Amino acid sequence: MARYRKLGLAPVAALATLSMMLAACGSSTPSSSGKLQASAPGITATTILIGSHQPLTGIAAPGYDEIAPASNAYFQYVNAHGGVYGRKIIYKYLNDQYNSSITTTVVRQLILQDHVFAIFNGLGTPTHLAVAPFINAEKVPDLFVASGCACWNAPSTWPETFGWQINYIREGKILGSYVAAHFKGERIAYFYQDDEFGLDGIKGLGYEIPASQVVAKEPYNVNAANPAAEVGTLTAALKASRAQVVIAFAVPAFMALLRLSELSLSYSPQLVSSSVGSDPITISGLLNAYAKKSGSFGDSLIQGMITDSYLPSLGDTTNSWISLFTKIHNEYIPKLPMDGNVLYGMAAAYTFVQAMFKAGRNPTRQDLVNAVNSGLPQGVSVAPYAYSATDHDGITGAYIAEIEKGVLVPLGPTQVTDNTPTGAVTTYTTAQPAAPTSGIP
Amino acid sequence: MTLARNAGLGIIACVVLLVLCSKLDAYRQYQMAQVAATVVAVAGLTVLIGVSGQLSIGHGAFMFVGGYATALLVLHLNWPLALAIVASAVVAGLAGGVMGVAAARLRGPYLAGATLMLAVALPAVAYQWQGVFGGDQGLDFTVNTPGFLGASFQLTEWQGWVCCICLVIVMVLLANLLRSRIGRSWRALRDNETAAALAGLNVARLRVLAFMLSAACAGVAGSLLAMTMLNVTPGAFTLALSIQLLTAVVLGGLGSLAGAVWGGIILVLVPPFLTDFAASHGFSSASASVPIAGYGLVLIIVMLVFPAGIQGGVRRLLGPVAPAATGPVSAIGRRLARRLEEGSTTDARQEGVDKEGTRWPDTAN
Amino acid sequence: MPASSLAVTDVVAGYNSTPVLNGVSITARPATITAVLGANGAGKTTLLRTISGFVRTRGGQVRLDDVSLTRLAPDHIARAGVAHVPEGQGVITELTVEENLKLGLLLRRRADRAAALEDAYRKFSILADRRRRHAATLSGGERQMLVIARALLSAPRVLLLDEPSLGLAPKVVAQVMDLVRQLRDESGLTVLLVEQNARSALSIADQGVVLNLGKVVATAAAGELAADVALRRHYLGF
Repeated sequence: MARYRKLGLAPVAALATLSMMLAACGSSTPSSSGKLQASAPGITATTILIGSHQPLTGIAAPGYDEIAPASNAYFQYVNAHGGVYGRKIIYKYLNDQYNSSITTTVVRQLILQDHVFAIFNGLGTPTHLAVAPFINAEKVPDLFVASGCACWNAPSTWPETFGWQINYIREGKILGSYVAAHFKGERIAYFYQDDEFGLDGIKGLGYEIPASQVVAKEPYNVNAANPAAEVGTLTAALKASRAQVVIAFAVPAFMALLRLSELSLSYSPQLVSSSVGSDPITISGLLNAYAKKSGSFGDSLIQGMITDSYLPSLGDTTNSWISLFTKIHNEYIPKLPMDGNVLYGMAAAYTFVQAMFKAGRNPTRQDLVNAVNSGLPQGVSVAPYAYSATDHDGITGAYIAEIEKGVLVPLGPTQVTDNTPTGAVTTYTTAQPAAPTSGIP
Repeated sequence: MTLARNAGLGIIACVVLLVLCSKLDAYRQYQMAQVAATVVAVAGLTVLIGVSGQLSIGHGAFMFVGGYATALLVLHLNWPLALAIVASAVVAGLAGGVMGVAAARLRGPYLAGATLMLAVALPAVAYQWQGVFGGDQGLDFTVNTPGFLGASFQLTEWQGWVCCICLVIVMVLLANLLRSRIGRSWRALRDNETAAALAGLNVARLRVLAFMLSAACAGVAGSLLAMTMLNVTPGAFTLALSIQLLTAVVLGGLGSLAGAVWGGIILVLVPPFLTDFAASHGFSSASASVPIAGYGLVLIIVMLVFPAGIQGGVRRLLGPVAPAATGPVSAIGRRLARRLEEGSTTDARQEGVDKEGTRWPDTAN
Repeated sequence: MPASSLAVTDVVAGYNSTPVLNGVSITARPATITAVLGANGAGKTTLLRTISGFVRTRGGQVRLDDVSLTRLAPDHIARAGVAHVPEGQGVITELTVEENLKLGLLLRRRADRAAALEDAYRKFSILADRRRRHAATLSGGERQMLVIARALLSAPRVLLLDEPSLGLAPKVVAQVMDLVRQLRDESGLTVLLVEQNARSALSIADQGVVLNLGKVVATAAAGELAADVALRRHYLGF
């Protein structure tokens, strides 16, 4: 029912009612056996076509351009091992250059022309905000947006849209509660991106850290004409505030610039970063590139940085998920570095396949949404999902870690929390389930 | 008479476009709307550059003005779409007037620099006043299909219709304007500013008028793009957009309205075509630079094959050869050269020597 | 319409800091031809450009009858009745012959335009033959004719002609000079004629003015100037 032909009013209304009834039937009894058929746009007897918008070139591309190929590698792995109920996933991701006007166009192409079954892991807050209303108006499942904006959790206005990674408010709370407990009485400063990413993060931090301890708040403009100069000025202000702990909600490029500015000002507070700006391989690579150094220069600069993560650490080679994804990486995308972005892309893809299996053999779009609305079992993430009919947030917790020799070393157990100012940050004791031996949910 | 003829052609074109639009699927309708909106902007710019002889590297800024004007008017004041489009044209036209006043005092590279700055600076306004302009996320708004078309009428088709109707109106107006005294004066101005002024033309006023008009077209285009995409974001009006408009003007053929159509089509349709082409010919979508490189290649080939733009090429194929030296490109080149020598009292000497002797008015007359 | 006089008094003007004209005074009486002569760089072209408003005066006055033109914008001066035919580059090659001529009509009342154009075509029949052609396709003489015709279409009272004979064959130069004389005699135009070709200019002029390094070094009846051998040798080169 994606498109009407012009038939006049009455038949269309009848058709719409009928298809709604059909959709309702389908959702209540997802068939568990029977012939595979073209049950929805984008689904044929043999394939599932899904689409995404990704920054493959442009300012956001470095690092993030690995995510979609990594997801695709996981889908290829699934396809090679039986697919989803025998169907192969075709993942069509288009380059939006992190420019929301291009996002608008490519998402229309995916939905109106390619008739994808769902949009998966569309990357970026401003870019995806530009298309979320359209995707929802077209009633296309919008699964696992690659952004920690709390805005994706709006089931009444955007019933099709679901977040995935821990949102920035929760992340701020978990980081904040750690800092409040371990740096009692010390002078704390914030360095953050001046948009919903940084502001949500600061909001979460503020729920946990006493305002009296916060001596400076320095926002940066991600579109600054001269980022190095901008960060230099802000770093000088941080130093002047004599903060002993600096908590950053910054993208990798600005994280690297902050670290270099600190170095040149001989200012060395304890650095605490959100997971967005703390993938060791990405950050040390940027540090090396900006400082025109090579080797361990970058790694040495982020040694001891505190961060959080909602996925297992790449350094934990005994983790079943890390070994599964490393195996797939080596087989399908050996040319890419095995870094946090690749881990992210595969983990999100795994979650999508989980949802597809749950949606049934011949799913409609509504079946897929219903599948997520009824909750997904914890798998690749260290904390459970929040998914329900009234909550479209994804991962609810993370663990605190320290970067040592380029890998994350956990400093404690997983913490979970909610989005509210008063909701406690609590320890999650259930161990992460092991990856299925087949590698497929 | 030309007015009537152009209006007649316009009505025919309008009917053809609307019927065509109805036959397309939703995504093609969306693309058609995009093409129409882009052509409006390119047409305005080609008049500015190719006819009035002024350069703007920052025309995306006026699209920004038009787009945000429409979004704000629809969002907050609930203005009907038609009114919002007209208002966007007026607001962008006024902005163009301000730029034009400055432009009238600037020459060559300085004018280019000033318009460039505008394109870079204006989108920053959206970040500065996030409360009004929504910052990076911009503004979302909705457009409804009018009731008389029935509930089943697709939004994309309606958007396509609106864009095509606006395109035809703008093109008819521009075509008439170019044939009018004002169009003639602009061409005179571009070709020979001194002579134009000596003939009594108010050079400054004509230049500002050209800027206003061109900016108003960009405003309409911005407004149409906004109502097609149902949102406006600063990212939609980057310097890259301005440069693309300029590219489309040159590709189509400077100063040619028909050329603007070619330019707009290439601008909107070729990149996605190349992406699909690359994908279906074994380039994985990971090699994202392949379509971009392909686009560059297309541009280079077009300029090599049609140095006077596509419309210039079409004209060459269809009609008698026009003297090469009178092409608008060379006219601008000449003007620039003259600008560089400005202040020197020696004027370019006329090359042609009257060998055969011309019949002058009979002196005994 | 009665003929007009043009008076330039103590005009100082130039492009950058150094003035090209240093206190130039010339009076062109009604319905006369004044030949402005002098070597290259004497300031002849600058004088015309100053009168028509392209070069700002820094001192002195320009008057058309009793109306001051000093520091008016070029289009206002054109409206006041001064038509300037610039040296060499007056034709707008982008436009057709007719479009060029129509530019000259901009200053006329709408009702008069069609008749004025027809009148010009009667007078310059070769332009009538070529009215649809691009001006770029015209020969040098035809271009000169077109520019003068365009200037005349604005119904000027004063005509400023800058080197109309430049690049033309001698036979055509004679035709141009004949036309200028005819304009004075029949239309009562006051003409300021800048020429390198002093001999042919003086042959039709009533008065001659010799400029040198931005100053008037001689003003006299045309015949007298032509007869002054020393002056001729020194400044005019014939």
